[in-house]
Amino acid sequence: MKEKIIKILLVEDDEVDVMNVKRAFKKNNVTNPLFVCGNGIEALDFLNIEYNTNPHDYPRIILLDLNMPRMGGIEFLRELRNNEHLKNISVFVMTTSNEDNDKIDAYNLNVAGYILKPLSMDQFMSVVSTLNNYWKLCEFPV
Amino acid sequence: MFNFVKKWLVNLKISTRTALSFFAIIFTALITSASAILLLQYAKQIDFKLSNNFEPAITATKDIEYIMSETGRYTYDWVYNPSKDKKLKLQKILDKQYRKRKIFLIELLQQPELEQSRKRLVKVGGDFEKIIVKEKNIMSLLKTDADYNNPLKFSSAHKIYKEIEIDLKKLDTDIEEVELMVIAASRKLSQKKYASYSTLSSLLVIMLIGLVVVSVISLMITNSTVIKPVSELSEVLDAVGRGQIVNYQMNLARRDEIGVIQKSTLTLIKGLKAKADIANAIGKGNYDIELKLQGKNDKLGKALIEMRDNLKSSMLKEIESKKSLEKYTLSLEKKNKELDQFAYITSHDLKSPLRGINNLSEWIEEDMGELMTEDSKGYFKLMRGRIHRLESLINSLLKYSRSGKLGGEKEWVDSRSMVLDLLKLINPSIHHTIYFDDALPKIWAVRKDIEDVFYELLSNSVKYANPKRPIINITYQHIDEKHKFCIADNGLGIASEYHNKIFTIFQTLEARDKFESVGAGLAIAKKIVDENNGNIWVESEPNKGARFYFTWLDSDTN
Repeated sequence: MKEKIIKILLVEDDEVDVMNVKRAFKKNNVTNPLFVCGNGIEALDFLNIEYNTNPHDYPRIILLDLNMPRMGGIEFLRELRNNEHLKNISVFVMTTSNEDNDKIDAYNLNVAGYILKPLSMDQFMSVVSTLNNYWKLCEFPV
Repeated sequence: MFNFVKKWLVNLKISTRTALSFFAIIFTALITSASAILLLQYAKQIDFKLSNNFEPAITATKDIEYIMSETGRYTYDWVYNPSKDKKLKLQKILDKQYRKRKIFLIELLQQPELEQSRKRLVKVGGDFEKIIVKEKNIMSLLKTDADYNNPLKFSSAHKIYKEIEIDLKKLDTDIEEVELMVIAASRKLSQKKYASYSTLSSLLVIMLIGLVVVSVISLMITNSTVIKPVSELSEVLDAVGRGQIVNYQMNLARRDEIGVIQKSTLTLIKGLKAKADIANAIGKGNYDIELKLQGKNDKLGKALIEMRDNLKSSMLKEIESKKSLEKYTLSLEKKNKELDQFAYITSHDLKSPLRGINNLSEWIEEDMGELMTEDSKGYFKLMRGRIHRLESLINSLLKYSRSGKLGGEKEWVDSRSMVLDLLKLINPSIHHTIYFDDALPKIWAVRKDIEDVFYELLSNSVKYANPKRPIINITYQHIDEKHKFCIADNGLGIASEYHNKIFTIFQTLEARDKFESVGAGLAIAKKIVDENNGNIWVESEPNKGARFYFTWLDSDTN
């Protein structure tokens, strides 16, 4: 149980950002399986399939970008919180948007954190490291 | 009653009324004079009667009385003391004088008032006729001297005389009675005369009083129907002349000249009032009010119409220009918003590729490791420096485009504690000496806005104060319902040609490589102050520091 590795879903449309996250995971020795979806719709489809195939082992953590094509982050969050099975997923917003409105909307939809993407790689490394430590501390239901 | 008379009177023309009062006076005078004349005539008639009938009748009665007593005396003489003369006299009296007198008297007594006396006289006359018969008997008995000596005859004559004596005595009383009756009648008549005189005198008095009364009444009527309304009218017209539009009302509808003037005045006032009302309405902005001209020469009306039309057309023009101005303002606002939105979106979208470039450059540097030359490493460092500057430019642009636009609730903000908090945040070096006014007020503002303004100005001053001995001074004044803040530093100062330029975004006075500064802070402060209807400016000279001023409205009027 304790050794169980939680799946993480990254919802991000920017290829470089995806690579950035992957690089940071690798550097920080984050071993959690990372799945990537390009927008909200893709992510919802993916999560539904995951839940249906294995209701005990679907991604429990989502790293979410806000500005995305087709379905943005806030819209995705709204859909997610309305979904009976998926509403308990922890969501960390990782975005460039420093808009107050976005922050308010995100926290109203029960995000676990709102993180501004730092420009430099070093800073981002420390962000991912912190998050990793946090996840390791947290217990998730089966 | 009086009102009815007044109503009737005011329907007459003044000339008619004047004639009427004149005639009333004349009529009164005429009637009294006529009655006076009649009375005088009456009195004169009585006088005439008295002098022509009554007085002669009295005399005549006295005469007859005398004649009768004469006959007595002459008869006595005839009997006892005869003489030829006396006999002749008696005969003359009896034959002529008595009858003449009697006829004369009876004629005098023909007046109706004397009828009683006449009847009495006739009776007395009848009695006297008997005496005459007796006297004539005596005369025939004692015709000659011989007869006197005849004792028989004489004694019978004596006897008859005695009878006559008694009869005459009685007759004397009777005739005196007649006389008294005549006198009584004459007195009665005299009394009538005096009565008519007193009537006449009282009539004259009445006439005088009547004349006075009629004159007074006509004066009063003139006063109440002419003078009063005329003076009222003149007051009204004076008031109108002074520009006052009085409420004039006629007490009576009247058809005389005054009524005509009153009507004209009423028309004048009504006309003026109507015009004044219209002018008022026009003044209040009712340009569609209808105005009827009161004839071809209604100059005032024409002027009003012209005024109304001119005002209306200028109002329409004004509305039109206002509309186009509003339209222009709206489109300008829209454009401004679009521009802000554009700046926001663009800068936001620019950030992610920028970060991509940054990441990729770092990865390349990492992956190449020792394979890179020192030059290449230097270039990469320069590139990232530029990337960071681009990011801060974009961030400033974002902040600028959003500043003062967020809206939010206004509240009372304590500027003193806010400045203290901001100074902690800016965290100047320990060398900085910062003075500030203890009287910094509470101001009515959106907290974020006023915070941004102070933040930008304070950090600007902290940044540019004299590095050897940095001093910043924050002062405050209250002028013309406005808060006026001043943030002064002792830095290099700014030449006057740059005083406007420094408030434009991305304008810095130093090369960016020398002094890392984006140049958006003052522009952001200006934008917020402008949005809140304040002013922001700088007073400075080279090497004398800079004093940044801005004003903020005192109340919630904006």
